[in-house]
Amino acid sequence: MMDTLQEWLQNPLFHRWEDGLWQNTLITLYMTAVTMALTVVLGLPLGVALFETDGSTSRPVRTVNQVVGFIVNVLRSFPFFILIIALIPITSAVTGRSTGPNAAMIALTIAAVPFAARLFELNLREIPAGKIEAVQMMGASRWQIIRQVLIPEALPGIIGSITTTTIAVIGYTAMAGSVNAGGLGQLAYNRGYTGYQTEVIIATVVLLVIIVILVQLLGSRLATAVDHRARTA
Amino acid sequence: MITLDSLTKVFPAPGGGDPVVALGGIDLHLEPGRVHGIVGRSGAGKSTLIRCLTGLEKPTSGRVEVDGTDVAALEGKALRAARRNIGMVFQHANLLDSRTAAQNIAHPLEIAGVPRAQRERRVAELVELVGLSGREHNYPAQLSGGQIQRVGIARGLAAEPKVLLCDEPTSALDGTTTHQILDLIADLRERLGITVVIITHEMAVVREVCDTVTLLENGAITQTGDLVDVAADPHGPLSAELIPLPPAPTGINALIVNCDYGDSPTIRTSDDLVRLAETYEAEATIVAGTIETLGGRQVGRVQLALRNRSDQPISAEGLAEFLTELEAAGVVAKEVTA
Ligand SMILES: Nc1ncnc2c1ncn2[C@@H]1O[C@H](COP(=O)(O)OP(=O)(O)O)[C@@H](O)[C@H]1O
Ligand SMILES: [Mg+2]
Repeated sequence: MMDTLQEWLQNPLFHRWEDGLWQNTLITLYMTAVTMALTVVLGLPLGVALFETDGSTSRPVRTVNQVVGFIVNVLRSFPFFILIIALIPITSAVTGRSTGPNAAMIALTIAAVPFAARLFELNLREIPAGKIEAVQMMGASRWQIIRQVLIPEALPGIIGSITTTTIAVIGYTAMAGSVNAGGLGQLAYNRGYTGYQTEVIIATVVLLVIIVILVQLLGSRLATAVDHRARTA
Repeated sequence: MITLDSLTKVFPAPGGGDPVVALGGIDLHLEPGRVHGIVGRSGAGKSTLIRCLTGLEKPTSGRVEVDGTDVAALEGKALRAARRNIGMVFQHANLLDSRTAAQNIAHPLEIAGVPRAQRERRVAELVELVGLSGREHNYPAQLSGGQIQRVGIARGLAAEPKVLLCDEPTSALDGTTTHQILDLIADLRERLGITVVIITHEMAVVREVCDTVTLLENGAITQTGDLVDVAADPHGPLSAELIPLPPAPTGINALIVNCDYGDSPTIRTSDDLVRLAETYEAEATIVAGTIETLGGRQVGRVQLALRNRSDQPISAEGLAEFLTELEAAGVVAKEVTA
């Protein structure tokens, strides 16, 4: 038992940087971080737009809401593996290459934005209508409502949604190997599964679990820190 | 200050059935500097009325004039400007959980673009005014229901509105806290000369702070006027609710007569009633009653037990004569048959 462990730890992939465990960990973290940055920047306005246009009295606005809602639903129901392949023509047009981490991040972002936008929309829906009306009554503009009511009041929930999306994106990055993006998923598949190196599979799984736990922990901490609502015991 | 001119609001039925007429042509004039109560059962249209005053709801037809502006005709920027003239207090205060008490109070000023230093000065004043000193840096979750409503009132007053609209401001509070909040509202009216509209289903609120009262039933006004007049009018639907008659003891060997003497020029107190009964050779005892002094005038509703000298119920003729006399004196009296 100890011998096997000793032997496993000798695996050069754990010690060399180039295409080793640690470089691929960094690639996974890099893809996740950039994807999430883009997802918040694009997904939050989209979530707000979905919320604001829902149930509008204006017919064109309602139509826009339905069209955008439909696109969001279609993108959300795409299996990521299919999406990443279907997007190859687009990614190669944008990044000049159809493979690598940058190509993967475009697919990751396109998958994560609609997912996050729906979660953000739900977060906004939890704000009691009376709170929004109270601020409308002060003569607030729509923009002031978004900045001063919707975002701050929903912030604990929004942070929770970002956390959930981040964890989903970490899972998706594993599939990014199919466009040669690198990362822990590809390492586990190429070296661990195809190359019969069980220790590589175990190491990537342990690392991914640790990363997910840390993300969840950080997310919960942040959400609690900005949550001034009464705690229900 | 507020004039409603055949204000009508019809909601389309959600299921495609009959539309709901929430307000069916309301005419109402509310004087400046007074506390106006609007009462009615749940579903009477009170909230719809107040929402029309703020432009949160567009009337189906009619005029809504607040401080000389037709709110119903405004849109966009002009409506937002008009709203700054109206403060609003909600049943559950509707404070933002993400802001401290002070930040909530400052919010209307922030939206109006008041500079920070001036904002802070005004907030300090308001905190003092509503009795929240020491709690201004607490979040709503750290405050009691009464304190939350004080913040709500301070916020409603922050931008120095001419009108303060309160939708069920005390309905979520206990009795003592209700009393304190009503005291605060009365005090504000005294000190600031602001016009207050209070919507409520609680008659105690009306009795305690209102100068006028308007009864809304099924989207129509069924009674309106100064509190004293409305309470004293025994024919109106509100007097019995404002001055309710408690249950009388049972098993009395006497004739029981309900008397409502608020409107009478000659019968001013319950003693006058008893004395009048004695001229009919009857002994009158008050077995139940509510007597209130509103605006320096006694308004009462009492139940009299009438007996003759030999301790028997008075005769039918005696009763008829007594009732006629009461009617002539402007007292609404009715025999109670068990
Ligand atoms: N947005 C709405 N859509 C449809 N019906 C409504 C709406 N708001 C209020 N109503 C109806 O209008 C009537 C008056 O409601 P409301 O003004 O809230 O009464 P109150 O505040 O006196 O309890 C009720 O029958 C209610 O169901
Ligand atoms: Mg209501």
